[in-house]
Amino acid sequence: MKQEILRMSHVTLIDDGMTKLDDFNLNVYAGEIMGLLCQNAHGRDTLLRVITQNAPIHYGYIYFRETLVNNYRHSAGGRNAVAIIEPRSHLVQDLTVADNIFVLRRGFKKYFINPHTLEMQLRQFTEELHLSFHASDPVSRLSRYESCVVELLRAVVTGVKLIVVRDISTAISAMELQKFHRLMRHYARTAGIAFLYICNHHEEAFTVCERISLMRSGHILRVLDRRDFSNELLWRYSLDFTRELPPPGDATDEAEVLRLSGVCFGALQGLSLSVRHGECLALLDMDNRIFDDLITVMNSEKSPAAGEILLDGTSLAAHKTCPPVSFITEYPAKTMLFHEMSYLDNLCFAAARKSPDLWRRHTLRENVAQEYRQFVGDFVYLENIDLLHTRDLIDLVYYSVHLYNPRIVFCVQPFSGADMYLRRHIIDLIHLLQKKGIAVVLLAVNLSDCLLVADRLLLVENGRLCREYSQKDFAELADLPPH
Amino acid sequence: MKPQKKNYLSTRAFRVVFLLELFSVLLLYVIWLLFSAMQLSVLLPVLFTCLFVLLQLYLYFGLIAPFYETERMLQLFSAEYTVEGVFDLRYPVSPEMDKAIARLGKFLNNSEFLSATKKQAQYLALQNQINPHFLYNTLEGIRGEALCAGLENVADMTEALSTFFRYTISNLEHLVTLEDELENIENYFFIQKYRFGDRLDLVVEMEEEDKPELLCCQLPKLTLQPIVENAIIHGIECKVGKGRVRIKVEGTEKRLLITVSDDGVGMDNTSLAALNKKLGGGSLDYMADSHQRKGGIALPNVNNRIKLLFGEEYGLCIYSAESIGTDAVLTLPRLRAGAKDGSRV
Repeated sequence: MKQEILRMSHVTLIDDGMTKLDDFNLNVYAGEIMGLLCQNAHGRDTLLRVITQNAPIHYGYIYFRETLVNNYRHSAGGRNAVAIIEPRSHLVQDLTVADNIFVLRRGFKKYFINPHTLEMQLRQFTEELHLSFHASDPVSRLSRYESCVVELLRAVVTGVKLIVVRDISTAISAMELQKFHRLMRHYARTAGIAFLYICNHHEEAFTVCERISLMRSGHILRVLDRRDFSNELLWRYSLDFTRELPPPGDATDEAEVLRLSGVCFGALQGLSLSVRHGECLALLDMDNRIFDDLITVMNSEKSPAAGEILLDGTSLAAHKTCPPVSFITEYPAKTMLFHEMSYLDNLCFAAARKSPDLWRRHTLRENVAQEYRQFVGDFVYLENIDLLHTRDLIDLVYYSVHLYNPRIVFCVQPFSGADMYLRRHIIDLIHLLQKKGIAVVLLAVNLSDCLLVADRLLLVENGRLCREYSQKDFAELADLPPH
Repeated sequence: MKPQKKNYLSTRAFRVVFLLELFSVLLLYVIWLLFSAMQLSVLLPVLFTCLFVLLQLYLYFGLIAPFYETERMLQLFSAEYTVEGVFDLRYPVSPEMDKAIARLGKFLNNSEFLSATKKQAQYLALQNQINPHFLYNTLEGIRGEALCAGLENVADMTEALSTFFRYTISNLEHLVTLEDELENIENYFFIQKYRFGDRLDLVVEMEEEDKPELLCCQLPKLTLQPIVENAIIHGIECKVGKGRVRIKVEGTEKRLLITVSDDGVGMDNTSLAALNKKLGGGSLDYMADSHQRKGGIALPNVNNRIKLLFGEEYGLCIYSAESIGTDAVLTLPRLRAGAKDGSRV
């Protein structure tokens, strides 16, 4: 007999006149890893608020461990024993691992804490699970994967019955994800903990979940059993991500834009690679360590300890005044725009490095506005970009790079946190950059979506190139760890 | 004729409360002004302010919040989300209003409502049965003739049909075990197989270790058959090639979950939304005359019977996608054999 942990029955939640959850049904049983595959982000945050905090609902019933905790007549508003693990850490960075796991929890009432006892307690877990961190390590020194594991252990110690794991594949590498899945299975099996695994990619959910609920616009479309897990079935629910293969020809004919030869800096241990004109290259780091260092050297902030970086055949240092390299960071809508500036000013901001006249001459900016109006419509004249949706803000970031027209652009995890519709749109934006002849390098820790847009894939392990795949070899990648 | 403007009591009450509030704020303001002008101690104005704040809290939690809760229940009733909620208000407007709603509830009370849905079910069952004994006897006669003529297939089919009618037409008041219900489904399938041949397949799945306990669970009679019939007629019949109906039974401590899936043609989003809307509310539209009705009545009928017997938190939910198939998920309370009609164990 199954033990029910969470049951949401016909839940409807209307917030500000918008239906966030629409006749939403979800059952999660003890010891089960239940997937929630979100086709768009609509209602996802609301769902978590309802599960964790019992936020008032418009209609429906919510049971936690077979007890009615929230319904449309009355919401007590108490918290359920649910933990959330997501890319954003919920740990106190300046405290130790042991403090985060054992001390910062409800019900801990000791006035005197014996670090040795905590260490002993933690050792039971770390030895069992072969974990490398120690009780006294400050959390700030842990990798993101280790932080996720600490959060998992904290949830286990606290006696949480349901753990929501949300979008972690965007924060940890493919190998780490595989290890984390093993830990989830371990606790599901041995401690009967239920997991709600929220992600955007069915390939990722297939590897770990026992059942998957498909969600779109706050409504469950279908609940799939393991036997229903097939790409063909999921494609019927998804947008068309198929790509046209280029006509056969030798891509190596294209001129080389960037060449790294034996570059050593921080985690980079003799990295060598080349990128060709207008090419889209995916760089998959299996250890999730090199990106900060790669960006530092490509940004000319520091010179590599060894090796050479050539841009269009000349040293990168020679381009210092106006380097033809751009970067699009992870979550660019939040990190790459100036919210006090207008749409047009944001659009011109990067390009103004090349031609400072953009700030002085109104006519130039008007020409830019006219040119980009065909892509973004009247938004180009918008004064307050806070009124825009995430998709439009991402448009603005990519179009500002398009206007700047660098030789090469590095995109850090471009698909992080993006729902299916946004991912499809980002792919179109990357193609737009390629069409202009801009080489695109995707810095990724998981393969999801990168293969849909990349012309080549480079696998990096221990800071150096370990394997290269051309587009026709992408089929071999099924042997790689789950992504 | 110009519609008469309604003078709502709630609007009047809120107007009075608003005026009293305004008066209290002004009074408080005057007290503060007087005391500061006369340079007296602020102790008394502070005390008045505290009293005022306490009064506001009392007003909010004692009157405004309960009023909105009641209002929301009535809104949900009007929007066809719930039937139960309006008869089970935590804060009725007044004792007389409460009595009036209870009286109204009696008119439309659950048992009458329930009997209406049962009548629908019976009606469906009785459409082909003018005289059940006449029908049974005739079927037995055909079976005998078929056996004499060496037509075993015809005899088997006639026997299955006779068993099916016996189960269907007999007393609808009682709950039956899942085992009985599944037997009836298998019998129904046996008959349908003569029509569909190898095109149709049925699979019943449940955990082996839970099987004895699950089979003893009780559910209203003829709950599964209309769902399976729907899966065959609207799902698989229209499909080219083979089709499979899967019945998956799961049990938790308090609930029985039965999923009937088919890999037929499925439904488009509009039809699915319309059907789920019908299943969601306490609407009786499906009982309208057939020419006024949109769509079938089998699924809303099953759903309403369950909701009325066991409560709004139980019932049917449909997931479907065009050319993929349809899943009907039935949630019931876990009743063990021996429990009376509608009582939960």
